[in-house]
Amino acid sequence: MLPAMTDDPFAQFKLTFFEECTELLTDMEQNLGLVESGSFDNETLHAIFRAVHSIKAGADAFSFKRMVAFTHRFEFLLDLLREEKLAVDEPLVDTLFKSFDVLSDLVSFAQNGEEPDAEYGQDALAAIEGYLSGDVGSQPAAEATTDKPVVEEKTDQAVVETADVQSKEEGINHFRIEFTPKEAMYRHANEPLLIIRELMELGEITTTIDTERLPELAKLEPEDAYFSWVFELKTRYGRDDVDEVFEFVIDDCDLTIVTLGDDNEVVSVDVSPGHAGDDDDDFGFFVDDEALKSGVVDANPKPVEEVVAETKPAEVKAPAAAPAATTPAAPTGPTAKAAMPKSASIRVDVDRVDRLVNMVGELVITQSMLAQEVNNSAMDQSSNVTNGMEELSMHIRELQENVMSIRMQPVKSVFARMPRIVRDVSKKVGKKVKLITEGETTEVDKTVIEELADPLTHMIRNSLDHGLETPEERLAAGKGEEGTIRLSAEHRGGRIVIEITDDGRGINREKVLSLAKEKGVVAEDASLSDEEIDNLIFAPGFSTADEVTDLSGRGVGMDVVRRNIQALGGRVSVTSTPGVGARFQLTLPLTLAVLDGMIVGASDEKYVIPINNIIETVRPPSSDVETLIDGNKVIRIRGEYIRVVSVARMFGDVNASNDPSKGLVVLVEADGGKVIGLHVDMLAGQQQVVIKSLETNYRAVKGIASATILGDGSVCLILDIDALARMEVPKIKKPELMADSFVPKQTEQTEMPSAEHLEAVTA
Amino acid sequence: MSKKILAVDDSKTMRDMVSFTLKGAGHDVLLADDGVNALSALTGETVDLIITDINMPNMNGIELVEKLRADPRFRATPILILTTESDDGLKQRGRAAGATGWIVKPFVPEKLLKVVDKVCA
Amino acid sequence: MTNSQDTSAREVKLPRELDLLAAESLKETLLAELDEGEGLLLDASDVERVSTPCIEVLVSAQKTCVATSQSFQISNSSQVLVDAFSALGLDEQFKGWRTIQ
Repeated sequence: MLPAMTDDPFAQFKLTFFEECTELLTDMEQNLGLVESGSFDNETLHAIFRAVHSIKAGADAFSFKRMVAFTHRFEFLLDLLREEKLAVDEPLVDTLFKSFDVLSDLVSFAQNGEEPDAEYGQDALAAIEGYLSGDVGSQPAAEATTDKPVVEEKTDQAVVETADVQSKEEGINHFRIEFTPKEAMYRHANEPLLIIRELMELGEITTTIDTERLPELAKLEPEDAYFSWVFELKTRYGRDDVDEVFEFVIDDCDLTIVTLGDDNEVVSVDVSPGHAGDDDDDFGFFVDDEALKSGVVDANPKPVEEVVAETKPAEVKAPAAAPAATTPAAPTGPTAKAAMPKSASIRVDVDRVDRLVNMVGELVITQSMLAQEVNNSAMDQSSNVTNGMEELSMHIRELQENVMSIRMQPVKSVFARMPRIVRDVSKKVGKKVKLITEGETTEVDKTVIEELADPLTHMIRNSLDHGLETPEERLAAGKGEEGTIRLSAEHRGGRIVIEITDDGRGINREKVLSLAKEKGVVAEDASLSDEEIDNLIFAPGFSTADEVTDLSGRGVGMDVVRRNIQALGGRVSVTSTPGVGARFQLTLPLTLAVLDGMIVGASDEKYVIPINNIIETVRPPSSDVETLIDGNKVIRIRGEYIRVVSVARMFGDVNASNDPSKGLVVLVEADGGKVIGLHVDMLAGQQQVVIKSLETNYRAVKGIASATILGDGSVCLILDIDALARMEVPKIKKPELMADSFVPKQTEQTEMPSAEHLEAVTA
Repeated sequence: MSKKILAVDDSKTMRDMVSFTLKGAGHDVLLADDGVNALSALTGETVDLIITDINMPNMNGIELVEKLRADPRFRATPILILTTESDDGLKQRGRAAGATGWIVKPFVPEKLLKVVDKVCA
Repeated sequence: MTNSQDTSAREVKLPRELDLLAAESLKETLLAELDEGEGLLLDASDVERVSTPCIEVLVSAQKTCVATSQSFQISNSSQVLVDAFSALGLDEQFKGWRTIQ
């Protein structure tokens, strides 16, 4: 028998298992959504079953007992479902989702090495049992397998070992084995030669063959079995080991095993086909009904061995003398090749990819430093070094793109959670909703995916809670009873655009505006465009709900959504048509690791403006510059006034020029389409920068999104445009001196941007 | 002796574990994630043993066994079903389809190797 | 068991693979030879792989030879074949059929 396992040889595959669980659960949730919506087929049910089944198998391998116990019952329910023994109705769908939740949690518990409370998941289990008990008759295996000690692997192992030792200490056992294959045995690729070889490994054997049944050649069916044998075996091994030899053929033969005493007297007779190997459930036997009915099942062969033990004093030999079969084969030249006919993929630890991404980031920085050195040196522009640098730069860029693409994942994993939310919320608010998802395969960096779930969840809840009407309201408005929420994703201009569209009542502008005034979000006398009113719902401290429900946002408003999206370098806006519906649009960078930026100079400091925000760069004539009463500037562009923010002043240089006509104004679009001008001294070029978190490395700074390292090794701050658009410019110290002519001129810009630069930034 | 073995399972975890165990013992391992891909992996290829899961998309283990037994090249190849099924009905179907034997998951590495030895000539 | 030498028997070379798949064609080959009525003389020097179904075909052929008074001999048996006969418990019978050249 086998040596006891000292430690888990498969521990290294746990990570794979949990990753697989995540994938399976994602798919499963999606499939459950299909079941709920009624648009499923049998394959959907099979897929759900397989997901639970696979999780169970893995859980079993790693001894996650709670998970095994739960999936075991869940699996039965799903089995009934796929066998069409259960009708898909609402209570069942509820049970499925509830069970799904429990399973997801159990996976998380296991992953975190936690043990849930004993009563955890009991309600789901009870619901499952409710269905199973209604169908006990057709599932006899259910009861039988509950007793299967599948979750007691360790105990099982101990038993195996005991039996092992026991049989070895019994000394020599004599068995007479009568073995008569049934005709189909060979066709199952079971080969008597192998069985006999295995018996020979157990000990000393005498073989007597009976060829009587063999017909003359013309009548012979060449693949049928005709021979039968009687073996006499002297072995140090026990009955279980002998049974194990025949385990795969037990149904394909008549087998009688007789235990002989010292002087060949018959001590015990066991007639098979029957059940062998009770101590070890790793292997099953094809027990047919006939065998069960015949009542000759050998339920407990142990007493026989005890008898033998008494009649035969032990001749203990060292366990080292185990037969060759139990010795693991030596790894002799494993030229293993893994052929996955479909697209081959490997699973890589995210940490490794992140390290790679970081290293490539460093490489980009080093490369640009080198490039700068080369430029500064008086090196011939056509020299090998210069050419080499160009090539290097190209390769590095390509390398970076490829490395980044490793982390790209379809948004499917996030989208898949939404049907569930729609389902739960619509039930609570008593609305009928159909969720349509599009573009699930759109890929975005893993870092973005992880941050996407919360805002999306919140926005969907918001649409359900506020956007869509109740069935009665819809009917009254001449719409179908069932509302639609469309969730879509697509790539647009190097960003991902996610839209949530509903066909509800749209934003109630009157109500929004009055509420905003009431809450002091806007001034009492403010006159706002429809679009501006719509976007008020993102304003801090605003909530359109008459009372804050626990649905749309667990007490947080859309302002939190916007803040979260902005923190990702994204933007969110809403467009609404009263009575027809609303559309939320969310644009996000594809990655949070790199950014295409314009490097600008403002009073000796350099900053990065994300290219995505830039509309154009202008050098306004002084005639287009106006000074506001508070001393701040606006510029007139194509008939519109745009607020100008002096970047230098914003970040502390009070002496910096406040005259946009003396510098450059970069027009940037902030959240909600709001345009501001950033007054800078110069443009220093456009490049992709590697984003380094300021919060992680320093602390959060208002108006600064993050930092990067430039080619010359200097740290450069990346501007947070949306924050800047909201920020108050620090009060100018001497308001009376604020006329243009009084601005001190000592901090004149030293460099003028080239025409080339200007062209480059015009978006 | 080193065998060439095809392991079929839709679970990556299981494939990894089976493959790891078999390769560790010096066997050559081919992998497939469902019955259809198992058959295409066997195009122009013979193996000493096939180990297959039952519950898989596209083509399940039972169908795979049936297809293999119908193919003269694999009529005599030992096939083990690797499954968590404790359902006798499914095992009977596996047997009827022509499976040589089976292994119940979770398996102990030594046990898997022993069974490989047991059914391979 | 019949060991009467019949020199007119043609020698049939057994294939390298005597697995399950080979059983049917082995049967056909041997049947055709038996129809000639001149006994079976099998050369087993190439045999590298043996299965019980093929052994059954061989033993059945031998039985048929006895019944039809033809000779049955296996020459140049490879070790694999010798071991298979031995394992199956056909040692004694095999000694009677075996010719070593």
